[in-house]
Amino acid sequence: MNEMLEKSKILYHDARRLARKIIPPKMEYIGYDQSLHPLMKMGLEVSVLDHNGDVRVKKKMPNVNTFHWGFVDLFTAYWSQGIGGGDYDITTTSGGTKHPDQSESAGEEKMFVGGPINNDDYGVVVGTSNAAIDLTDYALTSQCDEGVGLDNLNHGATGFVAPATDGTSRIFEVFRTFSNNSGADVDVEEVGLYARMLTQNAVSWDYVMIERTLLSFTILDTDTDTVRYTISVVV
Amino acid sequence: MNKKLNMRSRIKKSKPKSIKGALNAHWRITLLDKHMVPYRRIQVPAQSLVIAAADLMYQTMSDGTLNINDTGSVARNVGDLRYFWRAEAAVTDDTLGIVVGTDNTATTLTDDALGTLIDHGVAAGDLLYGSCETGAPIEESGPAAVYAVLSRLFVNRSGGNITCEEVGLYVEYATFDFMIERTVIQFTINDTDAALVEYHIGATA
Repeated sequence: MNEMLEKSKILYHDARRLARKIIPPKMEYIGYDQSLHPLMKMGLEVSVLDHNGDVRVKKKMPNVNTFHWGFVDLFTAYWSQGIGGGDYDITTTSGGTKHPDQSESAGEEKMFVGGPINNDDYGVVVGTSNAAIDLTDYALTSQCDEGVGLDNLNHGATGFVAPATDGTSRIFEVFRTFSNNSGADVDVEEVGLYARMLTQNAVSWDYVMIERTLLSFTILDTDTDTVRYTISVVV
Repeated sequence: MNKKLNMRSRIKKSKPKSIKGALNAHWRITLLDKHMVPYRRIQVPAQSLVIAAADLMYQTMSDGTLNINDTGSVARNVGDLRYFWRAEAAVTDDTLGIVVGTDNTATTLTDDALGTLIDHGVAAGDLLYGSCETGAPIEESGPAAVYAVLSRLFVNRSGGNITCEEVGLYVEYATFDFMIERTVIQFTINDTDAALVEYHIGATA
């Protein structure tokens, strides 16, 4: 049995190399289906309330524009967590690259989106640029900072609705409320979701964009709006 | 020969279309003969993430705590931000990473394990599990896409042919194993042959 296993290890490496590099002339492709099937979907809803609490604008998108490169990179990084993995670069929202920490020590964070009140580093975020979406976007193009200056917004705490089953779907929500105390209207054109991760060797926190979508709405001065992501798995 | 040519003529092939705002994945299986020369490749879209995928994603994003069934159907309350979906696995480990089985029952949201897992080994009905490894992400164009890649080799030294009917992805979160994806797909690994099973998950723009 042990001899067989040792042999299989050798064969494994040979086979992996061959399977990727050699396409024999008589290779058969059977049932080779390149179609795509959505596994995990993300929708988006925005409600803008006036200073009386009445709904002034409501917009809903069944599907966001796209998950971004950073989200897929987090899979690659964390598939090997706790067993070493490697130095895997991920582009952060500042445009630099960092290695996420792959250990499982207490206090680690892998993909936390619970940005607290008055924090614009992570969680649900909004911005004012309508630059076209690209899979390689790593941040909103022109994010609304926390504050009361021009195009600033006051960020509420990011909230969650725990998963629930609805027929053949499993759905949870991530949401955040923004208040406009800037003294002028703010025209939002883009919405995103940033996650916080601990960088390698627990050096620092850094942030990765999971999603960016173009959605246009205006938050009048003194208005508030709530941005709500709906994340679902559907069989 | 004609039959093979006919099969080859079916390569072309549904063009992938963008599905915005959704994760998608596919399984790619390459069969290899006893000399480890590949002779057949099968690809299908992954059919479904299951309930543990949503719940574990929620816990990683929110610091929530939920009871989630592990692959032994035992409810585990394991909310902790330090974990995500560890899927790399060592040679011989049939409890983690890409796994295969023999049950072709359709996937449901509440599945928490393969129907009938094929064990690691050389006994009748067993397969030798290679290590489950992460590959470099794949970038594609038309439509623009990026995929994270996992792969595992299965070698058949059981003395008989083995027909797989299901593939799945088991991940470790805390110290427990959970199934996040299961797809029903049929392929046969002949005695002394092998199969390289790859899982690609990602997004299109």
